[in-house]
Amino acid sequence: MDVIRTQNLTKIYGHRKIALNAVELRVPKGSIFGFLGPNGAGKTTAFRLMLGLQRPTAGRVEILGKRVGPNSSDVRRHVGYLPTNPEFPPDMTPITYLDFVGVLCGLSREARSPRLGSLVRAVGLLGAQSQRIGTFSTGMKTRLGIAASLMNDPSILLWDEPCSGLDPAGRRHTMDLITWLGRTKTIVVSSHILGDIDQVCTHVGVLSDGQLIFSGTMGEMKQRIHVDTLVVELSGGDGVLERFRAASRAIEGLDGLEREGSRFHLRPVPGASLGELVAAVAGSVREAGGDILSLSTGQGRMEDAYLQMLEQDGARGFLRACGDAEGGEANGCVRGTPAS
Amino acid sequence: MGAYVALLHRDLVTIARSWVARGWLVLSALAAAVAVLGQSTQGLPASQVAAQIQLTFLFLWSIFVIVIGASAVAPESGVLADSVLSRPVTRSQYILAKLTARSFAVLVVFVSVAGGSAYATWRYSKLPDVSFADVSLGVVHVLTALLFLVAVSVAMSSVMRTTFVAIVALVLAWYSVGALFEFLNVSFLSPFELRTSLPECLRGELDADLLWKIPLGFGIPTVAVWLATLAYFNYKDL
Repeated sequence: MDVIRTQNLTKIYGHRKIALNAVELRVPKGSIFGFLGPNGAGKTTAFRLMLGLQRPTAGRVEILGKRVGPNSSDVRRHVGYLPTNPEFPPDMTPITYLDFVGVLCGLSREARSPRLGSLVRAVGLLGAQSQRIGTFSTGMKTRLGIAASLMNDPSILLWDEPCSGLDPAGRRHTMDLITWLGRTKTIVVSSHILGDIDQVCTHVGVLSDGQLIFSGTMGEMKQRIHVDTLVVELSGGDGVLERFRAASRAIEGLDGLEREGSRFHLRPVPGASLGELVAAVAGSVREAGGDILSLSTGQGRMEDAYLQMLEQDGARGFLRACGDAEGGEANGCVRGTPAS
Repeated sequence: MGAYVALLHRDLVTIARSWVARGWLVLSALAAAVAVLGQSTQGLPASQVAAQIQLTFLFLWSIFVIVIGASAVAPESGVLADSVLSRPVTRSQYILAKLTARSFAVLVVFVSVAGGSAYATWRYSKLPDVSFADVSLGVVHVLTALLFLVAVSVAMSSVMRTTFVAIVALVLAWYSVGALFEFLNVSFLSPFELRTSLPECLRGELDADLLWKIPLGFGIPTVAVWLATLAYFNYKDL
């Protein structure tokens, strides 16, 4: 079941800027959906349309089967939203603001007080509980935003750049929180930091210039890399490294290799068994008198898949425009095998 | 309903904490006190002094009314989407809470100062030519004009992104509206017309048709502005 669904979602600002173009998005229930895209790709616009903060120029958004509009407070009751660099009433404290959000969400005083207490503690704002929000740093505001989005215990979370302004520890904590919350909630999290998405998401959608160019599971995303590589780092001097280079010419299933210091990037022949290749490489290293310091596969690297998609999308611009009338695949969105 | 009450309460607290509202209350009360004290030395009739006090709300303190109304939505534009309207709140609840809170604040300041000063004027005047009913009618006339001004100010605040621009536009409009209504031959709708009608009203000498024309003349446009603001705010992108 898809909890969020968009149909032909398009947003054009003032006849000047196309922020989103015919986006067909499906977010399956219980997924942690990563919304990827460079700055200005349309991620925040998509969130705002999902919440009814803006009206689509064309198309529609449905959450839990209900169409979303400016007055869809019943839908927003099930959604927790964290904007990028959130703004809060500067004269309020975390406690008064979370209490205010609780009232807006229709929570009773008995439910609000313990909940806001545990949330303030959970996001590490206990020391700043009586401080005015106007004095908060960006990271503190983001943490307060996380708490506010969880105040009504929603079944869907829309988090726009949740790690924005956070220090490494806060970032780590937020990623862990997303994984933990993902056990019981559907989460849509946007980021342009690939590592974050790779780490926690089960599904991913890639936006480029307002177009959804991919939507599918993380596995499907990673499989879209056409050239797999094997990276091996060796110990030993130049002699060992050159002997390995010579020995590797005899390895079956190896299309070529490049040396980068003590590291070799090996390109397997398409379809070659990676296991056999690793075994052969290990033999060649032994033969060269060296040892393996590290071995990694370039297959499935999120960054490669992502950049490859953006490049392809840029290259296919005209074809996409021509295919717009046919929709779906031709429209630019490459869908993986159905995610659910 | 709960969200509306929460938004209303929040806005009333914001207004009560603002230096504009506090300053207005203190200044208008002081000015009224000076006028009441001055009447005893000059021997002015109570109706004239009470009218002067009430008219200052239209021609001097109206600046404060405009500032209170025009600062309802525009200064919150960032906070609005992130902190309020992304929660289970309808646009209608938000803008109605703003209109109600700002109108209520103006009503409280005006009625307390105008009502209190009218009583003091009557009590200490050598010529107490006013009655409770006439003073109440006068207060209603001026109040409807002020509530119209609040509604227009909140409407402008929801349309414009900059509070200062909204305030300047409203001040210019408010002080030039008399000429426009004169030109349209509906001068009874002009706040400036109250300069002549209010003392008559307080003395109980106002034409019978103006008794209802003035409040309706401001009341109906006020309702229309509320509805237009509601419709616009529901349509607006945040």
